[in-house]
Amino acid sequence: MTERQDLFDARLADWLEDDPDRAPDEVLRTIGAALPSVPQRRALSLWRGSRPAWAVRYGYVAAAVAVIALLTSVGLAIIGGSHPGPTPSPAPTGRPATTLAVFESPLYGYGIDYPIGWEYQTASEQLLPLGLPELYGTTVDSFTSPAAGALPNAKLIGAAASLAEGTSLAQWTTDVEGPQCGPPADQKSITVAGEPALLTTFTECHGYFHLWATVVRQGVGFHIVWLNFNGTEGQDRQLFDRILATFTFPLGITGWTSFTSTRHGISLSFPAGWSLQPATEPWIWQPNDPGPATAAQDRAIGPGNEGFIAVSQRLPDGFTPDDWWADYLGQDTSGLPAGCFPATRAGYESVTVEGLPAYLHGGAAMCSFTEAIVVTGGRAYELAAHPNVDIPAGQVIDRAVVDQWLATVRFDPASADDTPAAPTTTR
Amino acid sequence: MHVELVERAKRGDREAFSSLAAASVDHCYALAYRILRDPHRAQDATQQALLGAWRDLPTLRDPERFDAWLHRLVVNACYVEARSERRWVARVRVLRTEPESPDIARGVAARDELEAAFRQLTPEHRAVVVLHHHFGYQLTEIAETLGIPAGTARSRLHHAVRQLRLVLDAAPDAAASIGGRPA
Repeated sequence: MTERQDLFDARLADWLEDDPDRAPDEVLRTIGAALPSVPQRRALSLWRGSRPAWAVRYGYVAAAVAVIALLTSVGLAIIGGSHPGPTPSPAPTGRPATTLAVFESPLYGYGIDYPIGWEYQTASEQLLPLGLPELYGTTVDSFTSPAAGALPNAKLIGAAASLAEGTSLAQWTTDVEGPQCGPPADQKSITVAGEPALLTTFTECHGYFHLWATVVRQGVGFHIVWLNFNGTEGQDRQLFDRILATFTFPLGITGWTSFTSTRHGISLSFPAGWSLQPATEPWIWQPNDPGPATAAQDRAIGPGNEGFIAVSQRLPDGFTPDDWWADYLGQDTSGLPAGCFPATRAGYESVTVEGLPAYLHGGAAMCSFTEAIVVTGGRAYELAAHPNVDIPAGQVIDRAVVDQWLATVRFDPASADDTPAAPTTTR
Repeated sequence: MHVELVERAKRGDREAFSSLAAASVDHCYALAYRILRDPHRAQDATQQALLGAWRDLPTLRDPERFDAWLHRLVVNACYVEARSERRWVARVRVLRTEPESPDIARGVAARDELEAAFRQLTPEHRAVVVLHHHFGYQLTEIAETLGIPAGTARSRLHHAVRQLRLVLDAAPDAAASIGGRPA
């Protein structure tokens, strides 16, 4: 190392040394206050975290999409009870993990992964509330292992039914399974996609060993059933657990939660089950505006950290919408991926939101967001959809989801509240 | 070592996690501040990282790795916070007051230029610089902490330092203090 390099390194370290080392007390207070409302993840999956970006799925897409999910680990997905956590089963050894592909049910809208190489047939008729999800029936999505596969006789079934109001998971499960299969060998409480579920085991029913998961969400009961001949129950269970951990509920607009912002003069909807973090402070325009702090964002975050984020700011006095745009476009975007922030408004995609002109940018994996900008009623709105709010780049959110979300947006600029947040000890 | 606390927190013990957070928060904030160069954003990133740690703690396989795992969460939270700005601008401009001596003037100029140069780096490049030059991480440790290949860590550090030097070399006052070049 040269003397000059040494001096440079020392100077750099010295400069960094002068920065603060102690967190404001407010940080711990905020964490302590928020902790009770933040649930811990109970479903552990070593491989799920390695799912590629495009495996982020949205169930309302009414077409089956199968794409290869490269699964690099052989960990076992654990569908855990609530507390204490489940005991992990040992990962299979000496055998590569089965590679899964993504499936979206065209009829029912749920998503689930299935082993690559398996054949599937999709449901064409709705299952009745107490109907049996029958193998090869028209009311089920059914997946069949190839004869040359590791589990040559295994089957997987998925189906859903609208239930009468007030139907409990336990009662529905018993009513459907009991008449068909008799008393189960085992039944335990699990979670499926974050919802309480039951996993019922039948040693033999209609000639098959059954692992039968049932879950009820928003008045809809879902069946996810694994069938196979006896003799490979251990392997069956491991693979079924992995598959079950990939289940996602349909995210059709039906059942979305509506939200009216108390800060930003906007109402919108987001999928049920997502958590809402409303803005607690306004986003006030300033020269070289750095963008809204997290506390100034209305955030709806999904279970996979996908998120919708809405913010708005009042245009400065004397600013026309064009003035605001000129300021916005004039910001320094060096250091950000090229193409995510077009230099001119012409570079944005023209869309409409609630009938108003809107300008869309992002939408590529390198951007990590797809954002629509609308200036109306003296306010500028920025509506960003993120495939994963925790990952800065590398994913892209389904455009259909973005459009679906933007279709729920209603602007009410007059109701926005730009009153500064109550002062805290550190701000 | 707080392995026992981690184990308890993994099982949902909030008190144990609060103890972990208390023990880690200053380090997390120090890391976030140096990457983001903004106290409020550093605070947000620290909070996001620690709450994310609580949420995802059951997925941590090796409690011994808690600190490195948490640092990764902090860095990722910084990335998110930085991207959420969407316009990475140098917001803080050091106001120059009348210096008391030429040496002080050069020192102020050097720090000002260094601040400006550092802000031109991407969050990914900032992270490796901070981890290496402040926290003393070796490249393999940086790679492990950030979950990136060692080669990527090396190239990021090389690129970041080169960028800083390029900017600083172009500033005569700063170079005098930083690079040892005659003023």
